[in-house]
Amino acid sequence: MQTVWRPFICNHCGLSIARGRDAVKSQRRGLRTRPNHPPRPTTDGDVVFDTRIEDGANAPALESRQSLNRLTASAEDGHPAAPSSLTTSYTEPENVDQVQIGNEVFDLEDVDEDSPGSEAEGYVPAASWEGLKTFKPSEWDAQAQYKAFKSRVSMREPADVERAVHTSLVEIFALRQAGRPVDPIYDAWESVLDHDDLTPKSTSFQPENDGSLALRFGNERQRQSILTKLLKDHSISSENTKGIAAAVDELVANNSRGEEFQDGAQGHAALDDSWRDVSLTDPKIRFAVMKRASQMLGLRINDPDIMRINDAAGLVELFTKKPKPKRLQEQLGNDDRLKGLLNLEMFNKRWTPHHKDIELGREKLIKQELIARGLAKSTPQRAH
Amino acid sequence: MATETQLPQSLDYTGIAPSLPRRKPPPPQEIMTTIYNFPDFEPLRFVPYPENHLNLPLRRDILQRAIIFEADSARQGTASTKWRSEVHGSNRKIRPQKGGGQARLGDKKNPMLRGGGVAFGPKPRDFSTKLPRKIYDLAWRTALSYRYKKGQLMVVQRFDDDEVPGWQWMGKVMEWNHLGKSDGRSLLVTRRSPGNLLAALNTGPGATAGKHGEAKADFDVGVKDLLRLGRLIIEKRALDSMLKDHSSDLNMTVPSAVYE
Repeated sequence: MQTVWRPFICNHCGLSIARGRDAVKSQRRGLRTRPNHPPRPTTDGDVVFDTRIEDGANAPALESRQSLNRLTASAEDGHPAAPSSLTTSYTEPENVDQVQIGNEVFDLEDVDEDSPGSEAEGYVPAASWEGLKTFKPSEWDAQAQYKAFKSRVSMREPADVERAVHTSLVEIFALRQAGRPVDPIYDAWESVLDHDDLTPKSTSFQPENDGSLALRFGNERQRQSILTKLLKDHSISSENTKGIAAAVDELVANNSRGEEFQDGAQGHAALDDSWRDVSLTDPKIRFAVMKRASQMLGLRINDPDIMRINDAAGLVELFTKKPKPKRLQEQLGNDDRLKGLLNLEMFNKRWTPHHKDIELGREKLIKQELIARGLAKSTPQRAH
Repeated sequence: MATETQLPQSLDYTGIAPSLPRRKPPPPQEIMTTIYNFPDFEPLRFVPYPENHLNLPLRRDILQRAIIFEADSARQGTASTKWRSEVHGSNRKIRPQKGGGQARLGDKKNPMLRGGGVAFGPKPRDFSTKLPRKIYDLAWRTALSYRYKKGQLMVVQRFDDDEVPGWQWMGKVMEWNHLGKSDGRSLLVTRRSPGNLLAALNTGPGATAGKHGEAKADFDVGVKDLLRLGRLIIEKRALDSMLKDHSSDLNMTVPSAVYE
């Protein structure tokens, strides 16, 4: 799709009116940038706002660009907004309440064109986009038009990574074991599950007969609660006839606060580590967990690294691994051997004798003395 | 003893040089690549590729040969100068051979003189060199393998040209997904001419042109392009056609001394 620049041509006078960047220049020169014509009357007398370019056969002759300096239309041309006197520079029409179109004179009403849905006489809602104002794609708000799969901000803290991987495992295993598709969880960047859904009371990974780990729920209500949250489907029902809301209320009432607050400092129950040993050798599970965790953390893992991991603990290591520093300065700063050396100092910039003066305090004394002798003026402290 | 061993009957020893039986090489291992959606870069699935396509060991010497080969072919070779026979002027001997005390000179087009011809100056010529096709193909796949192993290869299902409104939107996409200027820029490779994608990345007002990367069609890409920018974002069908076109050194039957 190629964008072609077309000049905006006034329907009545055929002048090409400056728009966009040219309009700014024209405005500075005091030239008009928008046509000041009344709406063109139709055959049945209804006045319709029409910005279409006329057919080639009926269009008035296109003026040259130099004619922009002569924006006053001549009455002899039959121009609708022509002033009575012919002038060489642009002037507003004397009588703005009336306008002459051809041989007829019309009264202009005060219409607030900016208010949408204004009940002006002759206003016709558009049934299609034909004739409406268009604009270039570059004029869109780019930010509003793009929806990414994952968030822009990435998280690499071990606590966040563990939480994200644990949550991903619970989400995916819960849906797979229920025989439901996994796709709904990718609609949002953040998980709908909270801390309570990850505690051992609610969910934990227990070994099966074949040695693999499977997700186990505290009770059936917790399973339904989690599935309802994940699928946003309140029609999930069980053999128990109680509603989901009542079940959740009962769950909250039954849980005693003393049992939950094991970690008194944070107010959250401790999580177990059974999820770390969950195997990711199945390609489908590995893909789903990797996808969900990377979405929540805003990170992308390299393909060779994804293929090397075998369990969830390996996935956590991959996410928490810091990328190699791009600059030598960062790499040297992270080197523990250099940090331990007492006779070594590292600086971001080249070390000069002036830096040594500042370090020893000489520079301050020199400045004070120069100011005292009137050889220098006091200036704001520069950052070195 | 070896001379007393009975040879199998299937071997043919009529020729002077006995031909060894040939067997097919074992099927290569497969590695997995993530396929992403464009423009939200949502992972869609894993796709296997053979190891001898995307997991080759790094061979810097082969990459160097291929890049030099491409650079030689790209040379225009139009530098031209006039030698002494081509300079406009008379062939008259300008001073006697002997007796002047100065160097002997023939015509005034001598390179030693101002206004004379250039001594063995450049002439338009072809600088292209030859490189065996199989080495070039191996270099191509080695470059792709290097990118894969570094995690700098992203395979996209399809670049939908109609979804690209302009350079502002494209800049937003590149910055959001950490593929743009602050992350080393990216090369986007499409199967056919990208159109809108190329305009969105390669053009723009002022310093925005090419700011976040470049877009190229697969026929415009060389080994150097695969290694130049920060990462390679390639359409799956473009990658498949590349691997197909640059596999002349694969699937060869290997002479073997294993007797069946």
